[in-house]
Amino acid sequence: MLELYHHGTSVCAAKARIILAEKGLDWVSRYVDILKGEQFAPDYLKLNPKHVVPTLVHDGNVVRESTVIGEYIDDAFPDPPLKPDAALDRVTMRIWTKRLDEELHPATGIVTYAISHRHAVIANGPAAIKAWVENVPPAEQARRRQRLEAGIEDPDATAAMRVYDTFLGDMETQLARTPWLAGNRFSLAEVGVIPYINRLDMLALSGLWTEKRPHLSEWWQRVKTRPTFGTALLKYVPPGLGELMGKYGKEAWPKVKAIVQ
Amino acid sequence: MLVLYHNDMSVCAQKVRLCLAEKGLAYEARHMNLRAGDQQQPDYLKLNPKGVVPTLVDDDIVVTESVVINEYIDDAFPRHPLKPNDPAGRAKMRWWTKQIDDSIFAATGTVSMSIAFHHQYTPEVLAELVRQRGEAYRRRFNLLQQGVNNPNFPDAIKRLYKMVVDMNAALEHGPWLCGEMLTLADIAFAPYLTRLDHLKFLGFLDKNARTAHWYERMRNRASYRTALAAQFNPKYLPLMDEKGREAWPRVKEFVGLA
Repeated sequence: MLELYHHGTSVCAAKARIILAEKGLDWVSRYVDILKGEQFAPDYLKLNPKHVVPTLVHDGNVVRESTVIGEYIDDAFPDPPLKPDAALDRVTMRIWTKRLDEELHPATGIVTYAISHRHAVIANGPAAIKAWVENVPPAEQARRRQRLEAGIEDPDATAAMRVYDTFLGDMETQLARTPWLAGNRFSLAEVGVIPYINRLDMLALSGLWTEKRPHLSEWWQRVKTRPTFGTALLKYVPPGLGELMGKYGKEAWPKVKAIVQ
Repeated sequence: MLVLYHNDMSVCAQKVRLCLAEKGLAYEARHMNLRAGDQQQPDYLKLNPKGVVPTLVDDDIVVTESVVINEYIDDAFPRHPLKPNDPAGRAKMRWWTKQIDDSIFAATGTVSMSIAFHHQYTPEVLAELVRQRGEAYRRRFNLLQQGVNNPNFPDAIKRLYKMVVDMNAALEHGPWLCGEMLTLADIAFAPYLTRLDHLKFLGFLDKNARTAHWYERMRNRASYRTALAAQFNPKYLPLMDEKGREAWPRVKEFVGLA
């Protein structure tokens, strides 16, 4: 039996759902509401001491870290293969998944907060803002307030936006050469990248590719028409969140455009 | 033909040399002097845009990132496999190698620089690095110069102690990190234990006997002797020894061994 501990807003959990869907595997959903803090429940901490989603449990065997889960499912259920056959293409695939873990993942949280999620804090009014800022050690409070107020123009957020833009540029270069990120077929590179591109799409920032990256645009259209895109990704977005992210994203777009130009 | 761009004391390069030695593969070694900035030369940046070692070149295939290089070596040269046969074993192996990329590599950098390596940077080298990487590098370097008083030092050294403890727990199930078979996980961790050894922090092993025995087994392998021990840089060792011994009383306190 395959059990997946996951949540609808987590990019990493989305990766695990996509690969399970691409393999056509049945799995039991164990929903961990990370917005309510369920990842800190003692039973979950036993499975995942870092209190993050996803966690995959396969016949009692626990697998953590979405990138490792991807490789695991492909090893355990080889058909259809989601790793390229050639050793060189596997290198390309693993460089992509490593860059996700080390570059894009940290950038995603910062960008999402700067463009959209900080508004949820602001909407709660001055007293709540004050409490939120003072919830960290005194030395960090000025930075926390600055991030809350400056949005995408905060230096860290601007830097994260540029990380994203560089990554998209590198995708465009690769997709000009090969139809998929690691060669001639859909691979774990796609599985990993899709949730991060979808995040930008939900934030109404698709101009980052539609305006200047034709190969990436065409690739994204192909990805979105795969049946698994709906069943593994869109189905799990919490109601109302997409509209909210789109609204704030549209407001931020002119600033984002100025940052990456 | 295989060509490896590497450095004698770089943990990432050591990982790949050890893998090549376990595979019994011949290669041409090109040593890079990192303190002289060899890795920033334009020809090397074409191979490795981040300007780091190692880089493996296999005819026209260029592979960067040590964890990816070692997976490549095992994919491209399947003789003497270094991955477990079963998916669960492979997942375990990759969980271990990922710990290094996520936090152990950075912690090792902070610890090694704070204690020993910052002494090797001349004012000229520092000025050049600041020119290349911006003023933020000077601020970071100023912290590293504070040694064990670097505010980032306690978390980094605790991470390395946790590594030793986690390994000890895993080694309950067999002689190697993934059980009965030596894998890319063991290869990846050998340089990190070696670094603790060079800094004279092997007191970390006192309560972690299984990790101690693992390290002993590792050091007795022919691959370790040729790929690591025979290439230790004699200019680095006395500095690490001296500065590490000085730091040890504070290190012990940070990790709760005092």
